[in-house]
Amino acid sequence: MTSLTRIEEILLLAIWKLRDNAYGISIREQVEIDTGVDWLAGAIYAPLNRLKKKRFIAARTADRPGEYGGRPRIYYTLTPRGREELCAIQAMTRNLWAGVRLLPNDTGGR
Amino acid sequence: MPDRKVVFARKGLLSLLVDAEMASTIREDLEFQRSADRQEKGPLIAALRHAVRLAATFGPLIVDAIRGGLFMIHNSIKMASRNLAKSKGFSFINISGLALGMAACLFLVLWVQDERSYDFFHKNAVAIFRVDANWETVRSSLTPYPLGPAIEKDVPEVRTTARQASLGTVVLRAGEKTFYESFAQAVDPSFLRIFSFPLLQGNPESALSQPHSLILTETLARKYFGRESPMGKTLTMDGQFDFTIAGIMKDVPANSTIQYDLLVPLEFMREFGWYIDRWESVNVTTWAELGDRGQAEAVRTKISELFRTQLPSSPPEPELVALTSINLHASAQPGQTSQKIQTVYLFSGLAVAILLVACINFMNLSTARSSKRALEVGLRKVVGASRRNLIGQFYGESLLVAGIALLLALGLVLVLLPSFNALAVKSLTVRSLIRIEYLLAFLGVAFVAGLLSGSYPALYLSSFQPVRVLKGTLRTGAKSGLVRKALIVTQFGLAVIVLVGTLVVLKQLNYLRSKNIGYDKDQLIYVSLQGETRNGFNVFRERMIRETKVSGVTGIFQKPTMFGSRVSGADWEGRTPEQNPSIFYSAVDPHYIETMKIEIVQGRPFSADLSGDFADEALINRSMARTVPDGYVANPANAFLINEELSRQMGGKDLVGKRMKFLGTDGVIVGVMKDFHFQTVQKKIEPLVLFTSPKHVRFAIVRLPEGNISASLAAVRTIWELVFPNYPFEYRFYDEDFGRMFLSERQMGTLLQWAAVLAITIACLGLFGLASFLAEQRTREIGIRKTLGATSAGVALMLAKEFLRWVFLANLIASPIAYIISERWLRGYAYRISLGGSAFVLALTLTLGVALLTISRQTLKTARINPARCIKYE
Repeated sequence: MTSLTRIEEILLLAIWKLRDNAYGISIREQVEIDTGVDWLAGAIYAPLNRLKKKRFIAARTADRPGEYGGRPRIYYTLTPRGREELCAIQAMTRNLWAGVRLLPNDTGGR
Repeated sequence: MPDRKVVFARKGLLSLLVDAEMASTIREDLEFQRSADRQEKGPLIAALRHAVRLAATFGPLIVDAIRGGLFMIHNSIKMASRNLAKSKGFSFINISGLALGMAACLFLVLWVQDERSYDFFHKNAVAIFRVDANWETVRSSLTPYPLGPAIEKDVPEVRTTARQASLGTVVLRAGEKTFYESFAQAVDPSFLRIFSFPLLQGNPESALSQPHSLILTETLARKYFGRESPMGKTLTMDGQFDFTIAGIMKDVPANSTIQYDLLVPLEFMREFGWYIDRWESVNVTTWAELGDRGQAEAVRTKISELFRTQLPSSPPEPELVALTSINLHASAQPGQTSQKIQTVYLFSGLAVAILLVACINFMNLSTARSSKRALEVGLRKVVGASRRNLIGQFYGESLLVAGIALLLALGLVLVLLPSFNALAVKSLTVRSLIRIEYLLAFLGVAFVAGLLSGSYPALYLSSFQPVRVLKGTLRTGAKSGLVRKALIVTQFGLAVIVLVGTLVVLKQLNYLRSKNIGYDKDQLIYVSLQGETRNGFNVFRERMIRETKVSGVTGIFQKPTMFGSRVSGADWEGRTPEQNPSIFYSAVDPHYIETMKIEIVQGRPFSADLSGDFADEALINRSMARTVPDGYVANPANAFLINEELSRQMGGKDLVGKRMKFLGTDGVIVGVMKDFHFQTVQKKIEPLVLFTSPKHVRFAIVRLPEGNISASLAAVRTIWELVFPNYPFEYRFYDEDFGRMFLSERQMGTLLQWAAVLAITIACLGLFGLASFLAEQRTREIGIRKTLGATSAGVALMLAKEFLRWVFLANLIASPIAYIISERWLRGYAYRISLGGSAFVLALTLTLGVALLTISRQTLKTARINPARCIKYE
């Protein structure tokens, strides 16, 4: 059983999909694409911070000479633990949906 | 650049909530979106959206942070509360003792703070000085009338001066409403510039510019005009002067030494002929606001020069008294400490002592429990706790207990504040408690208490070696036992000091109350005479004597229970040049002596025959007249009555019949009065001269017959209302004034009483905890003793002796200290009790008795124990 909240799960998945290009802005944009919701920046950072504290993700600093006044950018990657967690979520989600066929106008017999 | 500030603040907050990497990430995104918004939607929308995003970012982060913090605190609270709950009795004693001590300490701190806050609310408080004058023998806050303007002209260091004079009691009438007002002041217009007494209505620059304008406080305005606006309305003073209300003032704060209800311009006083532009007219208080407070000495020197040029025959020495020091330090004669500052020191000491006793209690109980906790410490260490962890845990625990105690103490303070106000005659409100200084002080007290009381277990217990503790070889015996006993001795010592102090104050109070004051003050009332009633005094007196059964009616110039004026420079037959007593004086009605029942030891009282004994009117006019009487011819046969104290200072014998020159007028000493208290009973009886002058009666004194007082009062009222229909009849009993004289002693007695009860209670709480602990520890020893033939009584005695010895020692040590403190306090009184042994014996008996009661239950329980049960308790 996983201990992540839904938004944490979505974030973790977004970082996985972005591979080496996961930083604040790109993560937010990925989440917006995935969910179709215009996320206000702030709403993702508290869960992102939690993920980092629980050591599911790690930060890496990359210098960007010339760009943005040379300020370094922080990139995030999944830790082994984060990967395991994501696998567990995937497995669980698969189990949850196994054998369920849900059509838009199916009322489930009710 | 306000923008930059905001950024910094945000940076600060952000780095508090998250680490540097996350902060950088968040900042980058926020800036990115903001600049994108700016390009697409313009600066206004961008700023709005930015604000929303900020809130959305910080909100959840803060919630997360709080959750995390709570978890930590929750954990340590759980640990500590488990430990507290494990020994409920101890915890209760611990916390309640500390809370009581803290509450008492907080009250005392509040009191001291309030006393120290006097007059600091003025904007330029520290630069304001009162100019006092040291005449040859007398120091006075009254100065010559022209002094203020002269200073302003000649002393450039002084920014502004303002003169102030009390009007005494006046009668005010507005429409149907007539009242006496006794807090009326006449001031220069600059008064409102120097002092920060804000006007609610009216212009402070012009409100006092007309001689017949007047400023009222809010409360007084409501009293006369209710909800109507009083501005521009008319008030009549003493039935003859009409004033226009030109300003409404906020009520004067309680912590102001200058108290008044209404202000009139000083210029108005000219109409009374009371204030004259002459340096000999010493009648006003002069305030000076300096440009720089450091120049006080230079200013003083210049004023001294002014005095020497203006009053060459007898120039007084000026003294600058800082406004902010008046409440605590002033009003004392030079070289004497004022009663107020002594009380402040005393209460500060008491606050510290009570807190100390409470903390000692806490330490004591923690120490007593140390061997029980020792096992816990050992185990924790074995499991891997470092010494730092343990120190943290013990300090955490004691701080938690102190925190709980503080909450309890604050609750107690809130609940008891009204009673405290009544007791201390203060008007501290809950709101006055909520100030950052107080909150910090309270937290500080809790913190220090927690640290003090947690130090022993934290630093000592944490050093236990686990091997020794777990093997049971650790003895917390001799060494810590000595510490504990020293603590008990200190605690009871402090209790003894407070107790002896209480007894001494109460005894002194009793002594002062029952002291023979030299006249019969029972059934004596006085009425202040204002305006027309002054001229009607004789009519009133005649009718009173004729139509009622009152035993006597007389009148006096000075306030009947508190004479105020004194002069030096009297001359008499046979005076030596060194003799120059400073003499109090009053004009009285010829019947004063018989009505007051003052004993005449030599010579005769004033004769009631109206031709002989009158003082020269000119003399009185010069010294105190408010109205110029009509054509009275100087009478060479002025009669003076002097008191025994003056007679002693004049050389003693055969003074009756001698000629005397007093206040510049010749007369004859007709008699010597037995000393009586014409001021507060605390004060030494000073030299006094009385002379007769019915025209200068300011107070009517009536002695009611014994028996039905209310009927007699009603009779007096009827006559008063017949003679003076326009003036309300407001009387006071001499007794009332006397009760008021002991206010500060009574307050102190009551406060000390409570402090003593508290100190003993807390000490006993500590003793109780200790006794039960020690009894438990010695169960086996007692079991063996009993097996070997000791009786229950013998064991009980042994246990009791153990404790009583230390209480006795506490008495032995504390008594001399209490003696010194009491002696110092008593030195402030001219008439005082001698410190006998009785207070000390009583304190000893009381502490021993209470200590015995405290330990008796535990001791008896232990002594009656069945040895078979306790010896094999393993």
